[in-house]
Amino acid sequence: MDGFLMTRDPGSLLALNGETAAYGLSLTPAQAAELALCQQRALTDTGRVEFGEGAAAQLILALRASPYVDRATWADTLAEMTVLFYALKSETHDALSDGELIDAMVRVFDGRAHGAVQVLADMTESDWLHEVYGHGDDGENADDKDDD
Amino acid sequence: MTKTTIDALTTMPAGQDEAPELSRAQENLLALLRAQALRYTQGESTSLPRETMEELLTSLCYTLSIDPTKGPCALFPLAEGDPHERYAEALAQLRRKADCARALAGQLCLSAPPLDCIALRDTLRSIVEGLNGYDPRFFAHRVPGSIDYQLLRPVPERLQGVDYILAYLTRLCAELRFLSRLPLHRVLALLDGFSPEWRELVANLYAPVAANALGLALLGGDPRRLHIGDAQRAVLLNLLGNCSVAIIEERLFAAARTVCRALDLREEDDTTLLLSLALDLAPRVHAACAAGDLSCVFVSFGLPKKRG
Repeated sequence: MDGFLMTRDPGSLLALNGETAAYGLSLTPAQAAELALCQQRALTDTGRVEFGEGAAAQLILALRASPYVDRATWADTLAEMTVLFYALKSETHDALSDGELIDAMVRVFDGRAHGAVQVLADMTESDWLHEVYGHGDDGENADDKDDD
Repeated sequence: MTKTTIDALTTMPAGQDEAPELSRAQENLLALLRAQALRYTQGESTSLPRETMEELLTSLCYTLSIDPTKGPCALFPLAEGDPHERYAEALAQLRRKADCARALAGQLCLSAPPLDCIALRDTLRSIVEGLNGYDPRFFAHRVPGSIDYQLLRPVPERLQGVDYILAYLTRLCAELRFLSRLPLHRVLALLDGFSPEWRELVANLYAPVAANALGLALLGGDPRRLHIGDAQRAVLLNLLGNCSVAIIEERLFAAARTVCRALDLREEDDTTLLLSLALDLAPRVHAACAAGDLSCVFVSFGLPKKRG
């Protein structure tokens, strides 16, 4: 079933160059193909099946404004974050939605990790759950509580 | 569903690479599976663990009456028409079946003889709860409820989901209908003779009771009496001792029809069930006659187990 539903066409990743050009970022056809392959391997390794556009495409859009990426590191960062994304989806037992996880990953990457993917990789399941839900409590939800 | 089966459904068989109908059917299945996965994640995730996807596919196949063991050719019905419409119709049909099963389970809970059998009670409770929580959208193939009480004729393992439960309840209905036509105190006494622990046993209750009814019919007696003592067993031994299995079978079949008439059991299920018991009993009776002891087939009444 691996790759049975997912679009593995690197062309869809290349098409996103139009969305990242303003940030000085782009993937070459070879990098896009490698990223698609990397995503496929990550899915196989984590025992997951993709039925949408995939994490790589979502990460391209989420990371393009990061101060810690540039043309030289763009492809490698995307590959590492894609692998990490699927690993975290499984480790957190799908408790986090794609949007929640990607927002949290970008927040940590741009924040205390200062662009080091290894910092994200070293975080535990409970760290991530706290990052997503705990962060909300400290911020927006805390306001809600005050309202109550 | 095994990996092989999934792959079998989604891989073109050799020589059919150009079969447009099959290709369309597979595309339609994928479209349905994507839609199901999106519904399941409520649009919040675009990937799922492989096991979950396999279950969603199994559920989809069951709902659409697609037998995945038949390979991609089983998908041909999906080649025509709107697959989403087809799925909606199939889902509605499953919901109707679940309603029927709920009604049948409710009727059984009200009409079952008060036997106080733990396995039977737990099974009915579990089925009622299972049907109340049955969600045919994602896991239609899962059997709603757990089965402890063993039927004389088990439901075929190939049945899934609510079809399994409907078949189980229909068969259970026939067994309990038979038991409810007999005096309760006699049924209880016979079951006490069968085993003092029968209330706690995971055993079929129809078989020992119906066997004695057949034995009494063979003797020309009233099957409602149920009691078979040493004297009756001696007569049965004399009657059947020199018979072949085929002759015993023939006599038990005739006795089964007599019992159905005597108990006013008119439904085909009732007769079929009793005839199938007769078929099972014939070789056992033959072996017991050879050993000169029928007490393991036709049991005597016993005393209730002291509680506390």
